[in-house]
Amino acid sequence: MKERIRFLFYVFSLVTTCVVIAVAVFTNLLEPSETVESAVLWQIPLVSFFCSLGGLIYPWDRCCRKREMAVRVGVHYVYINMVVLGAGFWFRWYRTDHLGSLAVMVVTIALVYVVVSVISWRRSAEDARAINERLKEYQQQGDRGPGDLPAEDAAGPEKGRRQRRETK
Amino acid sequence: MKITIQDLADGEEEEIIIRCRGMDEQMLKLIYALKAGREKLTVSKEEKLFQILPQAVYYFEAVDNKVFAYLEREVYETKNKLYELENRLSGTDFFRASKSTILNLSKVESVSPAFNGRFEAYMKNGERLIVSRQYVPLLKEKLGL
Repeated sequence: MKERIRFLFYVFSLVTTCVVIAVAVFTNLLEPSETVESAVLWQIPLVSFFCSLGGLIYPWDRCCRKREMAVRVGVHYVYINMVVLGAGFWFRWYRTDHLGSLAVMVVTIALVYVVVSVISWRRSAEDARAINERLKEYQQQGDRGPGDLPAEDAAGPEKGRRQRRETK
Repeated sequence: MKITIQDLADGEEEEIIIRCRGMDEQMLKLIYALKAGREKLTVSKEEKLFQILPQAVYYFEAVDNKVFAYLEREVYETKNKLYELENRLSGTDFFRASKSTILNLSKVESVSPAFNGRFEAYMKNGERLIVSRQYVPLLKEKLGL
């Protein structure tokens, strides 16, 4: 449970950061004269929280086939769109009478989704690299059995008497 | 740590004596590894019973309430439950990789990231298995990361 909460918090902070950047970029590009209301300061974390909950759709402790995974990714993406577009409608982030405004929202969602996925993937790739390095060391340590004692120790016992071998 | 090996005379029983100030986790793991390394697993295939060394197993998998031991090429069924194997092999090279699999770390060639925080383990016999998100921290811990 602790790991799951940690993972959700990681996704939440990543999504919040990306959304803040996206809002800053799109507001400045599309409507530079507009001012952003202070309410957006709690609206963004709220929506990010619900978006990060979508991560629970993926199996935590079991494997699943590629097909099942693809379906879950699709459902997750639809869920995120519903949350953001629903919240955007409620908080009036876009104009319902203007198709371009809705399109900007959809593109923003897609961009944030891709950026979050790429960052998560790169983080996993970094973890995999560290795991592989330690795995090699671990396996090299495991290969050193009693047969790898120092030369004088591996010489074997003298016949007919108890021999004491020591290594440090 | 000093390691002393004494050669035995004929007829004497083999024995391991551990002299330490306290039983820390590392020491317990060593004892488990010594015990598990000597104990053979009883497995079956086509109604015949076999004894195999745990080190020869690449991974265990639970499928439809049955547990199978996968060696390099052969597959055997074991009567042990997955959690029993997990307990019995704790402190050895084996680690829980998902709800249904236990992997032998010494038989893992490498890992690569899979989608959503999971990893794919490439086994030395060419098979690929998933390490689910829940067990990735355990894998890291086992490797001292």
